[in-house]
Amino acid sequence: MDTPPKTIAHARTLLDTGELTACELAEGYLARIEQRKDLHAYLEVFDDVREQARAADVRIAAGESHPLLGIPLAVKDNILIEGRVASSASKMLEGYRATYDATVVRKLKGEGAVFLGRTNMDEFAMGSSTENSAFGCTRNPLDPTRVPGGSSGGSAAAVAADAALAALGSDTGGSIRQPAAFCGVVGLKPTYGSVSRSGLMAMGSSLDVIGPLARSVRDAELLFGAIRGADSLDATTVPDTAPRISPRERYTIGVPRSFVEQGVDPDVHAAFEQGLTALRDAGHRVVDVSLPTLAQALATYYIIMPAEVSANLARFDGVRYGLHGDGGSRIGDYKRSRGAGFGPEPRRRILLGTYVLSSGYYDAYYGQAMRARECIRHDIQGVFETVDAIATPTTPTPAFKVGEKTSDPLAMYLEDIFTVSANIIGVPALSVPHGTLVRDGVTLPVGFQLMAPELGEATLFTLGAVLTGEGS
Amino acid sequence: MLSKDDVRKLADLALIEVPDDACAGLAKDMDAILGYVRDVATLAGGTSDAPAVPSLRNVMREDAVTGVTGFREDLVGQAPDRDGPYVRVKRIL
Repeated sequence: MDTPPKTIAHARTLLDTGELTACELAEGYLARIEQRKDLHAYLEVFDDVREQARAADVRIAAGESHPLLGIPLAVKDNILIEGRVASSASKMLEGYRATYDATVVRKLKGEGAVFLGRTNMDEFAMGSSTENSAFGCTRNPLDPTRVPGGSSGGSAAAVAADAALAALGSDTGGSIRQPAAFCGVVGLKPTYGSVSRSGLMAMGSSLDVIGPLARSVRDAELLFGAIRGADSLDATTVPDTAPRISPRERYTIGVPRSFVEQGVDPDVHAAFEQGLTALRDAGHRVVDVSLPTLAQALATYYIIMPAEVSANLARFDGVRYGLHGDGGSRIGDYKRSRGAGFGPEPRRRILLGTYVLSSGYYDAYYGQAMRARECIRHDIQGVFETVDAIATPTTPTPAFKVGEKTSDPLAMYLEDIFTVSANIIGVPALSVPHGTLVRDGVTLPVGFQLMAPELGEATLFTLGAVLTGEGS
Repeated sequence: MLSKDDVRKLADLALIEVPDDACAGLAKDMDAILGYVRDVATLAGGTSDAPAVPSLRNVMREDAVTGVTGFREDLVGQAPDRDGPYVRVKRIL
């Protein structure tokens, strides 16, 4: 394999016609991973990749054909694969071995996908740069002095560096879309509940969803099709009978003008405007919409998410699994284990969550945030009565320098300003690379985000394909 | 203003050990974040009739054992301290 296949669809053709075996394909990716070791995209490359590829070749030879049979994928370190270490890039779970497969992994194994390894991330998926990984940060393949975004930064970097054909990530407030934007790949945050969370380490249970990072919109669609579906192991999954929005020829796209014009890098804004022009040129209608509640979305998110984090991470107590520290007593053991196991960002969010849920502040923070969540839902749903999709830049800035925002957590949180709304109300959103800008002589990608109503992924795929040039 | 003492109390509530020299920095960061998120009140407070909970859907299932069994050893094997098929903990009473 001299040059890696461009897309999963391309690799599929090569595999099905026998031009390439799954073993050769896997070998090529293992070599590529080795070449780009400097990026630190992977926390572990699995030792049985060749074995998995051989098994795929046997199935291909027997005449089987699935879209993902023999396709090499990377998996974020917070998604369980039975028998493998899954650490969420935390000292707390260093060496922890999963005792079962996540539902998405079970589905991909059934399809015959080849798992290359587990990718680096911000600890427990908390961060926007992968600098919060307990095992060192990942570098952006386009400019190694910059971050790849986060928290699924390892997955995005692996795909962008041709060190995986596609990857799985998880998105609680932008953790798939923001790194996709920074690394110039496609990232989908599916509708909440359309993909099972069973086997995904919980961060914010009302916000979390697993989704694909890929080199094309079609590949993201393929991977999404393989992992979605109702699951008895996750009661919040959407029933398979729920009506999905069918694709159409012409769409109306709303732009919350006053919101996207504030605090956005001028070059990012220019790329965004070019994206709108491309959509208009393809025959779609672009209109201005008013979404006044978006201004409070980030504040709402940074109350609800830490509250859920503090509850979810209470399970790490140094008793049943994970790091254990001896504090002299039962309570002392809890405190010592948690103090030693969690890095600064999970610790900060656990304390924030504890604060906003404490009896004296519950109404002022968590109660208000839950009301605000419903106001935002009402506001956006109202706009979706007149438009099919809402467009914004994915991020206000391009990929920033390693270390640039580590000393100011609030500045880091502002990265999520355009992405959190989709998680707050559970709708799907897609980031596609569209346009570029130049920083310090390096060309960097810009992400264009589209948000659709619940179960409106087809709308996102159609419009996203226009922007990546895959349309028609 | 959040004080170092407030951070210590929160850490106690959250059962997490925070070194003394980290308390001041945490108080400062958390103050900035709480100051920012206090903004939600301008939205929710303006519409007092706003519902506090979303419309929810109940998920029902048969009251029957559905889980897979047979991985006790895998689970107990992850515990930092064990006694045969049990996870060992410090005295509770």
